[in-house]
Amino acid sequence: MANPNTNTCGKRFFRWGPRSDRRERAKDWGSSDSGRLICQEWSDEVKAVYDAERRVREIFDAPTKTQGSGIFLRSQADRLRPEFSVLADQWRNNTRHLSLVSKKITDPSYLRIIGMGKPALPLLLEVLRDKPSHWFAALRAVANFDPVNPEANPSEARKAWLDWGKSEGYID
Amino acid sequence: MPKSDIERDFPSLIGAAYDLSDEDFNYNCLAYALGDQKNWWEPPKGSGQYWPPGFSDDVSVKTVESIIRAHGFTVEVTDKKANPETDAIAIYAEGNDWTHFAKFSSGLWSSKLGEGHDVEGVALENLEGPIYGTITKILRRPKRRRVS
Repeated sequence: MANPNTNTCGKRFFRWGPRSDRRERAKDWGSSDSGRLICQEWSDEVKAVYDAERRVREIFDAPTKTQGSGIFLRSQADRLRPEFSVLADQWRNNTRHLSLVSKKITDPSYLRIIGMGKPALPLLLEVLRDKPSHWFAALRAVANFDPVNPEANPSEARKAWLDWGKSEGYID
Repeated sequence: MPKSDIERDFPSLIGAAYDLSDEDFNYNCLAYALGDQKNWWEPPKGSGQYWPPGFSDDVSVKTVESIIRAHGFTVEVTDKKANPETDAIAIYAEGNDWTHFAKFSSGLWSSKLGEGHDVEGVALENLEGPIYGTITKILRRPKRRRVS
């Protein structure tokens, strides 16, 4: 007589079966050829229904899962790149000699970049990497997040943002 | 950044003899004046900015004067045209808020322009104008007493 605890069908049934009283029946099913067949068919049927529902759920969940992802944002950012480059250059030219970040970030070009929202995030990280400057306020605004230690100086803040951007897939 | 870009913002530097350092976004003019080339001194502290503990989170001349005095620059210079007798810091302001600083050391005025270069050998009035406003106060260190 087959041991129900080592029977494949019995294990599958325990995995898929929703009610504890069916465990007893599984032992009987696993002890004979016809019982194993019935058990196998039932198990396959339950699994097929579950898998079908899971596939539907994945299709409907996909947009919300990918919206915040690096690949999705980077594709959106590419469309903003030309305008972003012009605004970033304007901001640098208009504010490069100001001594206060609080004044620099009120420049209309900077505010327009913040207005681009989260799709500007990969572009902000790129410009911070390539031409270090005080982009931290814009990054905080569009990411709604701040990975920077309060004790950090600008170079350390830059590193914290770039490390975070890489870990999230926003830049290489 | 070429000198022409600096002189576009500060036209009175055209033809003046001054030196430039490399650009560095880590520190600003207040940090430079106080001898710190690793931090950007501006309230509030955080997100890459430094502000000393115990001082108000504002950009008023009054608050920054107390910070500068705490660093030993305690004597106000009355003649703004003459070179100070000791190391000094000049405060530029618009209204009640500071906009910029220059420091006097080894017989020369120098300054850090925003995220850009240090400029050395400038005259204080070269930097006055629409960007930094006007010089509102100069504070210098007291003279050392001679030991007989």
